[in-house]
Amino acid sequence: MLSQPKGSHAETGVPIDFGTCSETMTVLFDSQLEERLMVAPKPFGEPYRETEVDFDVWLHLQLLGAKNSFNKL
Amino acid sequence: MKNGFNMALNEDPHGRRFIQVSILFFVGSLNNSSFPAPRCQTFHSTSLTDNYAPALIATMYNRRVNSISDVLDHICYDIVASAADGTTPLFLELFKRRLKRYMEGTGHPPHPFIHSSGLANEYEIDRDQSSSVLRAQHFLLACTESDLLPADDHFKIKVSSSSLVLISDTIKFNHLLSVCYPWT
Repeated sequence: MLSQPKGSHAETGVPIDFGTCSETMTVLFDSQLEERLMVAPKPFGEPYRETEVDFDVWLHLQLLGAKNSFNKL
Repeated sequence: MKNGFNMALNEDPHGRRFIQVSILFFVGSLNNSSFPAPRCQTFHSTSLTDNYAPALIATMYNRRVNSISDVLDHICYDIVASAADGTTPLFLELFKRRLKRYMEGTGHPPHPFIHSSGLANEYEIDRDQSSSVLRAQHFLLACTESDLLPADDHFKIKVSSSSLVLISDTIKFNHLLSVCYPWT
């Protein structure tokens, strides 16, 4: 089960604050992300299983997390 | 009450330009069976100069993302420091392709966690399911804190990557990717 993203790198526990510095965002590439980049993308529209977190889902969760953190400001 | 407004650059019979602002007042609620017709009120500004008015209109209009190229075409990639094994350019190239492909998707990815996490509610997911620019808007929002395009048409989103090399029993490379706006 995934945990609620708290920053762009929440899954690995590295906190990144999207909101402290306007016009700037940092993302840490780690081995997990490298592996995700190397996995062939899933065809659009095909549903994911709960445990499948490919690059698209990973990035989307980070961006949604950023959006929600802005909304709380 | 929900309000809205429109702005238009106009000209009076004497050739003097002015900004016409039409403000729309919606009074009541959608649940109210006697929902009244919206009222429209027009204000004419008098203090704006000819030079200022077009710039203001240009700034206010056409800042919505209409296609993913509105965002993608403004991303610049840079490598600050390469990993010793030379993989940084490869991962950056991969990142470019995957980012482009991600943006080409419509709506939210159909992952159960996106529904259950509360990060997007069911209304938003249904509303945005056919949006071809949703993902580009989210990316823009994360980089610039606005889902509207910057007023400067020549804006740049800088993506720079560098490698942090940790030496242990095995060499592990981490890549630090910085997405900065604007290009400096």
